[in-house]
Amino acid sequence: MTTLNFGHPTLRKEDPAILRGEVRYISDMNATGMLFAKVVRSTLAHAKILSIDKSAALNLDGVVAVYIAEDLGPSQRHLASFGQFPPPLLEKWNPKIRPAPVTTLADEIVRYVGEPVALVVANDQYIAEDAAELVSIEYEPLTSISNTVQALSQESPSIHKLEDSLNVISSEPWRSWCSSKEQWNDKGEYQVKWGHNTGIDMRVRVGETDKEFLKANIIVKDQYSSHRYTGVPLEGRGILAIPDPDGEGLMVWSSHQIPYFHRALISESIGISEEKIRVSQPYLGGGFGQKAGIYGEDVLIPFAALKLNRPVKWLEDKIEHFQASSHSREQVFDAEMAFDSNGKILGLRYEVLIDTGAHLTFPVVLPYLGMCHIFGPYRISCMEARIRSVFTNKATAAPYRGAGRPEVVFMVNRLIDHGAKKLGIDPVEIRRINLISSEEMPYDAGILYRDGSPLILDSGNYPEALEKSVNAINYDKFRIKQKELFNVGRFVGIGVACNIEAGGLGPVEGARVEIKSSGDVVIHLGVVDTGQGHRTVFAQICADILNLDLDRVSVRSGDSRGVIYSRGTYHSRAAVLVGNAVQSASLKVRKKLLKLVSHIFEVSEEDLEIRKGTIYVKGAPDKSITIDRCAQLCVPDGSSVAAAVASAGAIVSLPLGMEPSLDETSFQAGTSVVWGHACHIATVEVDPELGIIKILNYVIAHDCGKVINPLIVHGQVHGGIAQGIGGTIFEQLIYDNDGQLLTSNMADYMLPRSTDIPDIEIISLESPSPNNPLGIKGTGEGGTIGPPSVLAAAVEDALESFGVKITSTPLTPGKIIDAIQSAKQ
Amino acid sequence: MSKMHEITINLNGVDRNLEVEPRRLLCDVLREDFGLTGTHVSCEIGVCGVCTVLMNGKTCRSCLTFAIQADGAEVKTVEYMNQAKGLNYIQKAFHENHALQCGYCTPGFLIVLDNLFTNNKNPSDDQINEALSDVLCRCTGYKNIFKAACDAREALKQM
Amino acid sequence: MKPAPFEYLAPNKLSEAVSLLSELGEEASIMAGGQSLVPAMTVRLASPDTIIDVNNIKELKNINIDDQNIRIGALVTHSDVESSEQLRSVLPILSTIAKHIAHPTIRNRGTFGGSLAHADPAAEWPCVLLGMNGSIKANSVRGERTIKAKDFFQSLFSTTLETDEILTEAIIPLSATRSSWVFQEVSKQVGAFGIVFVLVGVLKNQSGLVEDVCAVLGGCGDVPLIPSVNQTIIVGKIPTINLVEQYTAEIIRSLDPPSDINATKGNRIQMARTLLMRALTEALSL
Repeated sequence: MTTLNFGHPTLRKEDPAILRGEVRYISDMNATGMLFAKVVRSTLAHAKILSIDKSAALNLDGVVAVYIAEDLGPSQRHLASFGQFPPPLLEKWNPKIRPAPVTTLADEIVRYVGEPVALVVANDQYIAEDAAELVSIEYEPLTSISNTVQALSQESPSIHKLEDSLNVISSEPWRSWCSSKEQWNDKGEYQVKWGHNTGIDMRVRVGETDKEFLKANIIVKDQYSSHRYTGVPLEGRGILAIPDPDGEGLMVWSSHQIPYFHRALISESIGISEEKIRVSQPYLGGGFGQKAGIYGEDVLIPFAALKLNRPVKWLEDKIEHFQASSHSREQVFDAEMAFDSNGKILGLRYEVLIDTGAHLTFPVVLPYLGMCHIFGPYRISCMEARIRSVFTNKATAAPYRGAGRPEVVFMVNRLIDHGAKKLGIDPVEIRRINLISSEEMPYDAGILYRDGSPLILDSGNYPEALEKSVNAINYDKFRIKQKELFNVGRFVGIGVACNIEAGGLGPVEGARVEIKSSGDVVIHLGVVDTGQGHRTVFAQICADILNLDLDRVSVRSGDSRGVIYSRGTYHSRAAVLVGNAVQSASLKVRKKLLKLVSHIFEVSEEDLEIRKGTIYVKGAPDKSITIDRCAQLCVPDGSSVAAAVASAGAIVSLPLGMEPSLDETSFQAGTSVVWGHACHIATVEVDPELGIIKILNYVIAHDCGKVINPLIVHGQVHGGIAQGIGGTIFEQLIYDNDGQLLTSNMADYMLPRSTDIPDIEIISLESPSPNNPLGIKGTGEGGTIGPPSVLAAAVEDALESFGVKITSTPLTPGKIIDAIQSAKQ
Repeated sequence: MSKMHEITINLNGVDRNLEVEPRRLLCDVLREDFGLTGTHVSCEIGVCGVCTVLMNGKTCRSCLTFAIQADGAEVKTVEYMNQAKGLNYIQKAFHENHALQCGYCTPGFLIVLDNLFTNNKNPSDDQINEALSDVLCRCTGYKNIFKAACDAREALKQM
Repeated sequence: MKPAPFEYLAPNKLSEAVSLLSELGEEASIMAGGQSLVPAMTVRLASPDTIIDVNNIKELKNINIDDQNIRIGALVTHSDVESSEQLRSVLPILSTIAKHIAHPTIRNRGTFGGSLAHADPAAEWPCVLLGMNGSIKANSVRGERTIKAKDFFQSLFSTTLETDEILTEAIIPLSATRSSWVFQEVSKQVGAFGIVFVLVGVLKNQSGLVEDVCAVLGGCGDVPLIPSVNQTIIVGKIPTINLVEQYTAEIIRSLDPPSDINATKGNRIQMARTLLMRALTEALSL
């Protein structure tokens, strides 16, 4: 086997078609006779729906249907959530979980501005929009809850009634999902009276924190908070549902990161079997987690298509995206960290309130997955946390690239920086003291990871990442320059933050590698490419094993007919699981090829080699056969075989017991996640009078195990950091006290431009994971994890002379000005 | 229903006739009536730039233009720069620099850069940066796009 | 998001345009560049029954400089202002300010007149017109009139233009070209609306005495503000940092800026103070 491709910065195969405008995104997909849908959404944050008058909308020329909850029959239901607590975690931690799933449409109550209340279907998009305005909804406003503290107060109304939760939990799978012992009394009755507007309440502990805190030389205690922001892929969500010719099944094109789950939702909600539904992806204009949410439209649009027996297309506009696609990152930590006199971390204690918005759709992710990222790269062997997800009348919070990691990493790194300050230790030095060394790998953190398996850091050299980034940014030199600039009235600062990143979450992913009778190789995948280059990287792996030109290998992904089962694209898992599955399936195909050829030439398989698409007998150059030819012989495709046989002038038979076809599927189980890591260092200049931040330099030392394609990896890191910078300085979702979203367009929600993102130096480290054959770790999300921590640290460092403490994001001009003012007082 | 208007647009070099309702946006007419789906729609309020086309030689947000305003105008969409086969010098630079990931913003960048190089065969880095600040990207972090623009500038010198 | 239906008219002559506007009154909106109007229509904040597109009226696209005034036609785009050699030769600050407006593509269509008529408190040209003691020319079927900038901007998105009037020209007196102008803004991002911005113009005589000073603040109220402060703090004197501080303090005392999602009142006061100090210092070459 060669490494002609693996590890190379191979240019992307998909680029030319994209550059020529020849590919199609969901908005470019059409079907004859298709209708256009527009969702009518709640204009209030919390209200009872008193009445809905569809008549004016229905009377508009060109309107075909208007659906509300009562029109949906059994399709109006609770939609299954994703990301449940696995049984080992339920067993170990007994989290209290109150199910609060999304429903297809709002029923009697609306719980956030933008919640879907009705669906209009019309002949064209413009008319659908006109009609949506004519749907008249009468509301009785209820007190809306705008933050978690207000939510917890007994004076606030319940966003989800006790009876509703009991209703949900009375059936499977909810009953199993919320089965921790504390929730059920001896009579088997579910206890819901354990928290007001609380979706999850759990405590986690490792080691004896009380003992450790008593030993502490210093304790840093503060409140650290991360604000609400979101992914904003440039392309919004969208669905085109086309009824099958038999009037029963469906073809669903959607811009969706978890298509198989989408299929399952449709199947369950509409009541048709999964095999009658095909879900496929066109090209996607980004995802970032917002397209892996749980949304009523995912069921509503297929419902409408089947009901009307016409294709129905729905495209999310940007106001809808901001109001109703999932939000993330809003968490407030009351935390304390104990250090000994040398700066060694003795323990960590915290309480966190996660603002989960109106629903709970990914119970385990933001609360638990985030928390797991405390256990590296710093040695924190003793911790205790109370974690609560609290309901508010805002859009539902769900994973956005980083999925809980950035917030937790922010708390930990700020605590460490503040500990360093208190002890008079340099922030780089305190990290040296606390980083887990490579000799300690694999490192058992003593806790279960989000998937229920032991959290064991597989490999990685964290101190190396720190040293290399410190050198690359010329840390010592910078400190000298910093003093010089300070003397002329300029304020520059440097910050450093280290993190780990779990990738490759199971349970499994599959790949099917098929050689067609033409000799072309097709890889079928279930995961979805949202721009990460799947069409190239997975072809690279297969092309190496079959020793073929990359052009000969194409990748078809995101189609529910691709492989029997797939979970989707999230948790930095595709390269890890799919990469290995492609490897494994390709090896199976290779083995079969060699077996066939050894039979044809009557040699043993060890005497064969493959070079550039041809299989040779070693030492006998005239004895060779191309893979194309093997495919003609082996793949049962009527005319090809006949032609091949005819031209061969002889009948070639397959080896005994070998069935025709070169088509193999493999699944890679993610029994244990893999752990990448990074060290981010950045320098900034701050204008203290205006609160404006300029990022001067940004370095990241980054390790994602074996790299299939460094060009792609660097692109992911760069893009992730850009989103992290955006989230830290520019972006903020702001609700007023009535729950109205004030930042619901791309002008008010400011995304970073080319002039805002500095050049980023990427130092690539590679510590293969022992947890999968290829040694790959995940990389998609890593870039987003560091920026909030590193920029807060750098800004605080720049403003050291003012005595400013940065404990929250975003770092807006107003916040910086206020921080300086309050430090003066 | 408002009065329909007959318009003629010189679209990618060819005169095309159409009857339009005044409120139909140019981006929708280009994409749906003429099937030119290379131009994309995102923010719908002129901020992101992915809908940018050329109108009478100047860059223009097609989401902020009614199709009726393009009557008698010369409109070029990203498809106009396609060679018969392969990639033109800007597209090639994007490919070689991994300057696209999901590709949704790419048409906007191609148009603004094409326009930049048409008006200025040797723009400075600052002028390139100014042109790039016109369009948003959510995937790449922009640096590869800048590198691609610089490579395109060099390639243009050789052409 | 799609606009509501409307009728569309595109007159070729100004006389036609004012006549149509007179007929249709409040049901109609004038469309110039459309870079503010169309997004408002797309999100249905604005749904006029009729759009009168004035882009075919060529006479509104001219820049003229006579012996008294700089006359900028309503349809002159921000890009035109940015690149106009004519304007740059007499009042280069206009080109500098134009570069801060949105992004290049928006500047290709957005117009000087449109920006004035729209009167967004975060827009730059209203500030300029006010600071330079400019006026606008308004045409209707009833004739033509000139409105001084200080009588034009009423409140946010509101001017004293009558419903049947079209803004046809902005007039800046040539006297403005004698001052040194400096523009500074606070913005998180190039091209975004400034949170606060200031335009400062100073005129010094041969002996270095300040003859005139003007400071206009944007983002500190519903309209651009020229705070009325005691000019003699600086006028008639040789400028020093101390005097600039005093003058600035006077201005700041008069401010009552709003709080919004971008900044609090207190933030804006601080920003205004800083920008004024910096702009005045630069303009006075201190």
